[in-house]
Amino acid sequence: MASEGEQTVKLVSSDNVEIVTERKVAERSMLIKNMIEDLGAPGEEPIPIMNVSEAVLRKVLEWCTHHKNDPAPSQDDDADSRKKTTDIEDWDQKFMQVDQEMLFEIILAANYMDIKALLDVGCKTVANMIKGKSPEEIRKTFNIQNDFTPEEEDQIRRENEWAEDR
Amino acid sequence: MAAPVKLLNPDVLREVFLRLSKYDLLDVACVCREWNFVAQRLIYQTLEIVASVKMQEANLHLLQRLQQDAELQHRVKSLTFKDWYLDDLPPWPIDNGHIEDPWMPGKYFSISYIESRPMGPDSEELMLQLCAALKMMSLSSFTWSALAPIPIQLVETLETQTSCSIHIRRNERAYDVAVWSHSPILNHAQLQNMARVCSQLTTLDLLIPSEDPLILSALGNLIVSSSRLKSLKLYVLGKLWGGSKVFFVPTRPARGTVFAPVRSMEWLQRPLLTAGRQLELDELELDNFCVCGVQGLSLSDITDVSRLRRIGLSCFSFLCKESGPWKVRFFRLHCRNPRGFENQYCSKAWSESMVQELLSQCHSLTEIELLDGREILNEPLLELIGTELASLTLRQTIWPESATGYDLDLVSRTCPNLRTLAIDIPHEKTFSQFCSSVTTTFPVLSELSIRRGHDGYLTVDFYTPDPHRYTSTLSDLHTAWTELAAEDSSLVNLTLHYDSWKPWDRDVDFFHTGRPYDVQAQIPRRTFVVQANVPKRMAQHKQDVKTKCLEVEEARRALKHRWQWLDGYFRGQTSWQDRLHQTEKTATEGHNLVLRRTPNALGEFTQRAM
Repeated sequence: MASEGEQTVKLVSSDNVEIVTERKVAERSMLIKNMIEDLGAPGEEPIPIMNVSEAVLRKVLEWCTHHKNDPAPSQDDDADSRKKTTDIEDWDQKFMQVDQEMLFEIILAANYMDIKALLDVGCKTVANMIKGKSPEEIRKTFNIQNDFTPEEEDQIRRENEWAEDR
Repeated sequence: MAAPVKLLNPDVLREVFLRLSKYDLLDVACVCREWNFVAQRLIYQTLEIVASVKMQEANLHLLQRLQQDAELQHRVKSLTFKDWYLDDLPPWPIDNGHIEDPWMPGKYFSISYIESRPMGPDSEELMLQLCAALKMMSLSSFTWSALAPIPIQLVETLETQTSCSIHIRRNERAYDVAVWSHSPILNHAQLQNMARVCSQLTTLDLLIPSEDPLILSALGNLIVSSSRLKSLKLYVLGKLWGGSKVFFVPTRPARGTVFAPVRSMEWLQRPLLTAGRQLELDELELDNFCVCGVQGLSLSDITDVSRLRRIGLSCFSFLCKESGPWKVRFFRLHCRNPRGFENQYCSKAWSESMVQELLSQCHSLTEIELLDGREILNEPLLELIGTELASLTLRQTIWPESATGYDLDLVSRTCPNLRTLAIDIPHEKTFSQFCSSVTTTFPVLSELSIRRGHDGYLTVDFYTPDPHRYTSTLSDLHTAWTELAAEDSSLVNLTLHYDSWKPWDRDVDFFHTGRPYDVQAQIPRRTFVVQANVPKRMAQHKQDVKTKCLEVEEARRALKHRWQWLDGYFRGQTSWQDRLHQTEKTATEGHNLVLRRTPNALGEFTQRAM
């Protein structure tokens, strides 16, 4: 019998493309890990990843392959590591150098497939694109329409004045 | 076509926004309706308020909205008062030209002291609105970290909200302010107020006077009756040796002083024994406590050691009787026996090998802070715990030949995951050279913080053709950074502290001289911090470095918030405005003017550098 590390699993993307990958890599996703455990016989039955297209799934698996040997994160790290947006390792930074659509798709996939560390890196990347910018600069970065009336904008500023203690 | 950003649903947006600071969130809230919806919920989850003249109108507006808007009341889960600048802090009372003894009956540290100073009209108005708002909210957490003690009106209101946990945190400037005002130091009146909400107290982070047996025993009782207490941090200020009565140092400047830590834990052990319980702390920090002379003390008599996540001590004897495995993530040991004060600070009945043995059983340690701890961080220990370490703070007071007594090569070899390093170096070393060698030794380091010795006492070696000016300025920092960027380091944050007066030096100076005004004169000379950092998104373009001087920023903030009460308490410095000018000048031009003199006919230099 093959050891767990060499086992493979079949994943099926939303656009119906089958991708075979190492079980250990796929199990970075808690969604897949739980499914494998439920299915019982890994490798035989293809696992549908309903919300993720082939291109995105391949990208996500690339990340999982690089990080397949990472230790499982401990629970109480969350609150501390969240704020440290600067802390992205080099490989991840390069990995995230993709167009915005792909970046957001990766984040959504990480969220859906329950890959906490990838979700974290993705969110940090977006947070770093926001940090230190004015609302207008943020809108420009993400191509967002300003749907506030000037009065509303003014009211938001007035209501949030208490927080401007810098 | 819709912008790709529309792909992000509110759940994922929330995840992104959780990684932003409050100030970034305020901008995010103005971007569009969808982002506003998500951001507002995060902004209003935790209210952090600074009560100052400048913020008064905005704060009143917020508190009134809180009283009217039921949805908002529900949304706010935690409220923090970072500072309360509306009332002046009283300076040490002076009686007949002398500083009054605060242990006299009716005075600040006596048991019969009654807080009688009325609140100013601004304070009163804000407090009224605050209490009215609090009564309608169901907070889960309230934090007080202002310099002034928590007001009784607030305690009375919080008392009725039994499910709200209360955190009392020491203000970051408490230590400095204690030099001219008693307010940041614990007294009986504060203890009585806190006792009313003891069942809600979750954090106690206090500055306490040394060896006042009455205050200590009242504090012990308070701690034991605080059944929810999770974090206990106590910093003891020294005392004056004054015969049979225990005096606090400022009271008797003429007599001999001694720096004295608290040397017994009976004040806490006894009430614990009576109550038949043990504390269940996650965090414990005890500074200027020494239990070397106490027989049979074990920390497990005080708290459930297996729960501790964070521990900071100035005497290791607390832990001599303990054995692992431990779940501690942060360990700090600041034990310093200053020259002339050996055995008065810590008797050091413990050895480095005991510390090593205990640390080797802490398998989840990620952060260590040591003072003169090079013997502790040896190879066998680092090989055991090094891979987990993410942050090291290596303080030192004894300067060896090289820039640092710590073996940085060894640290770099054994700690592959180290991201943050803070280190002390003597002033002789040029800053950028050292930075450069550290970043070469630690290629993956992202934050480096360097503390240097006094620049003010610079002596210039006239025999070298070009004496270095060791004073670092913002431009020096910029230069260092540019050099580092060329070397392709992974650094995103570089901090330089200089002309620093470290807490342990201050403890000694403060209590050695016993002359408060001397200590006051030192305040403007306290740690001077310049910082360079790049937002990581710019990491490829390191020339976009931002340099700033934290002291200048604080002075600017002080002006903006009109911290009037700090004016005039400093000798030779009349206002924050002056301080701002002074600091800006220092930050950009450097501290010292080095005058080079030409040698006399005999080739001697008769004048010292200025």
